[in-house]
Amino acid sequence: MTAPDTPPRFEQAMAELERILRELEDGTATLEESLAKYERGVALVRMCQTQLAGAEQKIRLLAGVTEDGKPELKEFAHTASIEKAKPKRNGKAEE
Amino acid sequence: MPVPAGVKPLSVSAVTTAVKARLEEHFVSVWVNGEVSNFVRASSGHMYFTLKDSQAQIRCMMPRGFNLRLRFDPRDGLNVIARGGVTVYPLRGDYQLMVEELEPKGIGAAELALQQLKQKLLAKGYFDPKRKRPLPRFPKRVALIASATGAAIRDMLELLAQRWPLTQVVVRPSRVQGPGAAEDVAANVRILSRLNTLKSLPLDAVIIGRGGGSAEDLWAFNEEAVADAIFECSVPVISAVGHETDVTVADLVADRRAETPSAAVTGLVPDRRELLAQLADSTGRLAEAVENRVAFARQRLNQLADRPAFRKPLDLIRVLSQRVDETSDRLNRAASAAVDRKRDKLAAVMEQLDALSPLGVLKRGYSLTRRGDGAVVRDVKDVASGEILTVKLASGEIITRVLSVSQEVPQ
Repeated sequence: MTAPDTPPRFEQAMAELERILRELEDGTATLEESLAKYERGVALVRMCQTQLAGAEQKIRLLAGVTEDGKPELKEFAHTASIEKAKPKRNGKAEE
Repeated sequence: MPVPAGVKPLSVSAVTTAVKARLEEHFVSVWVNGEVSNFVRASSGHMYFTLKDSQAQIRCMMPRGFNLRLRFDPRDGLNVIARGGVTVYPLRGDYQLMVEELEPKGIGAAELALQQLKQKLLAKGYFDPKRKRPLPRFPKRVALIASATGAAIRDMLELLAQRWPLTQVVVRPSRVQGPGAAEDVAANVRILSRLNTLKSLPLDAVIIGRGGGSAEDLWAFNEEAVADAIFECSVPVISAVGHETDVTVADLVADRRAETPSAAVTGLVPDRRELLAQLADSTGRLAEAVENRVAFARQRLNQLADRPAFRKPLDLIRVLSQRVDETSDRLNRAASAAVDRKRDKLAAVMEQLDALSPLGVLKRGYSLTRRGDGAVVRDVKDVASGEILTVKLASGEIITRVLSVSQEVPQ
């Protein structure tokens, strides 16, 4: 794969949630606005929870760079290397 | 002064050559301790200086071929030990020391070199706290520069998976110690920096990680090449290579320093469990805030209902109190007891309102005007010419069309 994956929108969701909490706790919004904000806030909480629950880390190996400046990304055999590296745990120095 | 018979005067060159030969024969290799002064590095690359002590001085020359191997910069005032042969510079008749090796005295050459590099980089602003860049709260993509098989990469990946799987991780294997490690690390930092600048691989942070090892293994991170690469990197760099006791140049130039690769990860990404707890807390806060808002609305309803000369039609109050009820229904169960109490109170208010019988208001000649969408007209700005409105009276409804709208109230 060459194109980087779409980054998660978690940050924006958290920022919006925090803004809504501030505005709601401020108490200046109308009843109708408060209700809308509450509903949006609950939706954002669910969105964030879902993202956190379902997230699976993407790990890529940067093998090189193409001539036109694109990254050459490969699957990184993460688990395999952990298993291989484990017996070395007591070794003094690493390579 | 007559020249004695049989003596043939020697030429200056001949004497000088003879002296030179004798000196070179007797002082093939001497160790001299003294202080450097008048240090000059000529454009040819040769170094010229004087070694002196309180009583004497000796001219020194260190040819380019030898001084290229120096790990530190000789400078005036430095106490050094030089090794070389004594020779003569015939053009001036000076004798001088041809220095082949030079060591600072009382401090290792490597240590001195490090001190000098730190001073140089400090002067160039590499360690300026003002240029340390902040790291994002929720990094989207992080690059790891580390040995592909070492403990550092494993520790970082395990911790990232545990704490923050939302971050995409790009691993760039690199030599981190031994010959060529500095160049390798520097090159990899530059590659990541370039990909970030080109936006073909946007990055939020680069962690340079190295697991345990001896202090001597840290030399790669005290090289100027690494310092330059970190300084010029377009992505904030976290240096996680050192020991508690040894702060490397890389640590000083980096935007952040971590004592271990694990500490670098902990400092960079949030903890999923903490976030989940915070989100659960947010749900409670949202509900509480709305409940407070509803309570405030009820209070206002009560005040409205308590006014003896109540002017508003009942419908409006109904709409408002229904909205309050709908909001209440959405509150979480924890708050339901409090809500129930308030709902009872609201019911009481509603009875009061019914008792006031606002229909009487309409009977007294007031009317309620609504737009096509049912919205109550409160302001002339709410309607436009030609719009069809419904006027509610006590006895029924009138459908009417707006002929004109005027801001002034007719007298």
